[in-house]
Amino acid sequence: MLFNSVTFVIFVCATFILYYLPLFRRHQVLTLVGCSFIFYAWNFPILLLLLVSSIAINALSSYRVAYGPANRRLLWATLGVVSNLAILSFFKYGRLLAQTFHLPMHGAAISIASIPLPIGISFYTFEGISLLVDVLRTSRLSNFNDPATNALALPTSFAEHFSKTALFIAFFPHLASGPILKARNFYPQINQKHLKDIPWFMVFRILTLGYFLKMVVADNLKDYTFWIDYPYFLSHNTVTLIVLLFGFSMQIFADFAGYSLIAIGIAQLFGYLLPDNFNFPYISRSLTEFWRRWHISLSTWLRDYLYFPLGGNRKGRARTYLNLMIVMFLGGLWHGAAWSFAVWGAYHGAGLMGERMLRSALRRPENPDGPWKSGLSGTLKELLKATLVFGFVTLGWLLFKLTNFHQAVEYVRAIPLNRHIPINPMLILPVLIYSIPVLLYHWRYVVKHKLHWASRLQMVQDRVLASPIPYAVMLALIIVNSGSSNAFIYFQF
Amino acid sequence: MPLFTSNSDAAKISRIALLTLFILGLYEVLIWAHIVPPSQGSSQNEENTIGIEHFMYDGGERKPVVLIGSSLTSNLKDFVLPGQSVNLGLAGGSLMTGLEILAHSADRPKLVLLEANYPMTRPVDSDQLGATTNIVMTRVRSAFPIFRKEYQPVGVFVTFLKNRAKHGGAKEGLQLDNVTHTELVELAVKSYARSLSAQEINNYQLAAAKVAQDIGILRSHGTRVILLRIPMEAATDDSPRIKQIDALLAQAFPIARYEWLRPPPAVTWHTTDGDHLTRADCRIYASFVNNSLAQYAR
Repeated sequence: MLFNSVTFVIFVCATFILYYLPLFRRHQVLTLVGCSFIFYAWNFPILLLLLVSSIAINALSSYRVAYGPANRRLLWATLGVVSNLAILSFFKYGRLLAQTFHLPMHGAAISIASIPLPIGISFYTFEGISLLVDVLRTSRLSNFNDPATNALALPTSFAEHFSKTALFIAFFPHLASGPILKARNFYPQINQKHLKDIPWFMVFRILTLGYFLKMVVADNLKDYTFWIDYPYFLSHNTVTLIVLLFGFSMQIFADFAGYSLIAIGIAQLFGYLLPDNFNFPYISRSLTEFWRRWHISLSTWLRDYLYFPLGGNRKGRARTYLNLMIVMFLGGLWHGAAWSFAVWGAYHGAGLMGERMLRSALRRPENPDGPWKSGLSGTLKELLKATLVFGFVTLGWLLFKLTNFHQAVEYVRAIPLNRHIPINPMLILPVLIYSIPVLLYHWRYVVKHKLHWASRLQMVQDRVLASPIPYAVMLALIIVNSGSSNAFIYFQF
Repeated sequence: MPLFTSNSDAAKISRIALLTLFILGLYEVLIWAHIVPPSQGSSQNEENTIGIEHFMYDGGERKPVVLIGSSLTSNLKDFVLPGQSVNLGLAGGSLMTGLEILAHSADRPKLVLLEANYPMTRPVDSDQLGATTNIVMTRVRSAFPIFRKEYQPVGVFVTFLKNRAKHGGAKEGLQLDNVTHTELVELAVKSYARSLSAQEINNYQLAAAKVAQDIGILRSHGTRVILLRIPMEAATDDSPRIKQIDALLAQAFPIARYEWLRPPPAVTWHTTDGDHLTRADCRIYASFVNNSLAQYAR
């Protein structure tokens, strides 16, 4: 069920009515869980079994970690984590591993491999792991039976814990593509919700922006970035190829940021705050900053549950580089069962390593979120850095579009070679037009937070944004200028 | 009035909704007044949808001749029987979607020209079909053109710029140099060097059976159906895969039971990529089709 389908709108309305009906108020958690199961089972009911199994494994093992004997906690946590990873490896990477190592595929193996990739599996298995690790870490510092120190607000009854875990993992706005929740942020929010507490205008703004980014920007851009595919790109000029890649960079942001905003907006309708997933990533002046702004829920997950446990940057320079590479390689592979995603991760890992080496050689302190330099030359320098980082990131997105590594290399080779082919303005123009909203979106942030000298510009901008005009324009464009409906790019992950 | 002064969430949302309605209303009036011209579409998907919209809302259903096929057909544009025909060739798609759209139409044409080339196995584009044949949206689009693809503001703006560029002497279509053209043809020939697998043969047989069934329905409504095999680059046409597909389709639609357009003259056909005729050759081929149809009519 796609967020941009009529079926989904009807589904949300029905769930909303049920959820706030006085009759069901005491069973809000169960109502949401039931509706989330319907959402998940909509296209492939069989996959619900997998989701329920995952919930059962995580509920049982986390409960044992919290309330079982102290000397068994680590064992239960390890069992839970291994089970999550086994599910993920089997359903997502089974075919890739079999192909890579030429394992025989026959009988049951073929029928299992033919099961479609369970939607959201990468997201909910990571959430399960976050639950187990959070409970284990908290259990070392506090007593779950004591409400004063029970920071995770874990219930003492298993039935209640099971239903809360089911909601944590299956809550439909984030189930398919995140944002990836952390137990410590979500469990304390599980309580009775009231209609009067809904911040309607905030929800309206978030949903308008989310749907605009998805339906107007991303869904239209996809009709042009389609030409990046092999062999079509071979017949396009250097400038066209660069603009198409730029357009894909805009598309992937609009698609995923749009999805995340819709998820956040819909979750707020049910009284839950989901974490922000994007913080103006394309203004980043370093890759470190980029990864603090792009898919924040994944990058913080990787930092908290992989990078820090590996030692982070506390075990010397060589180990830091190795840790960065491991985290980015696995983070890349998390995106899809193809080696091109791992290469994409390694590409970013190498970029982060290079950046650290350069900073260390130049003796520059790490301050990725710092303000931009003032003055015209300072601003230009910062813009140049942001452009370089954007170029690096955009080139990397090619591996998302062309998952055949050889074709991606061919594309890069075609950029300088195709100078002799005439430019195709009919491809360039729409790509640039549809990219404007994403550029404006980032520009707004630069003016507000980074350019100290642009106070007058900021005043005008604030006045425009406070007026109904931008939202009315976005709504009108959603109605008359939406592209053809398409699945979200991150659904495949 | 509280609606314009209140700071409540409801008032803020209502103000936005009212302004949105005003913008939409104004745009609709501009369309009705012919101040906003229709767009030709700037992507394959837009061009396909606009083609279907012309068929459904602008009297296309009442045209006596309908061409159905893939991009090979859509490239023929309005060259075939101009004024009397409508082109339902869908780039990136196949005749399956076109046949479904025709099945949803109230009127039946006198003549259907059906492409019988390799893209026949491409499945029905259910998203495209659902979006364009939805009963509610069909009625809404008939009454309010603002909801049609051809009036999407960005498409209208791009078409406006495109037309200005044309007046300024810009060349039409993508002009490829010889090196790129040769590379693309070689690539096409390479991809057609592989013979069909048993599964692919089965797919062609199933697709042909479905098309044969649709032809039967059209004929039962009094529509004449003529199959046409659009020529491609000689090297592509001679490739094992294309020859195999041609043989399969000839077997599925025997001349004794199905009407085929006579083969085009044995000249050298020029394509942009091995498959699609150049604009100049599209005109030549369309002229051949027009002459053939004129002969049949006599």
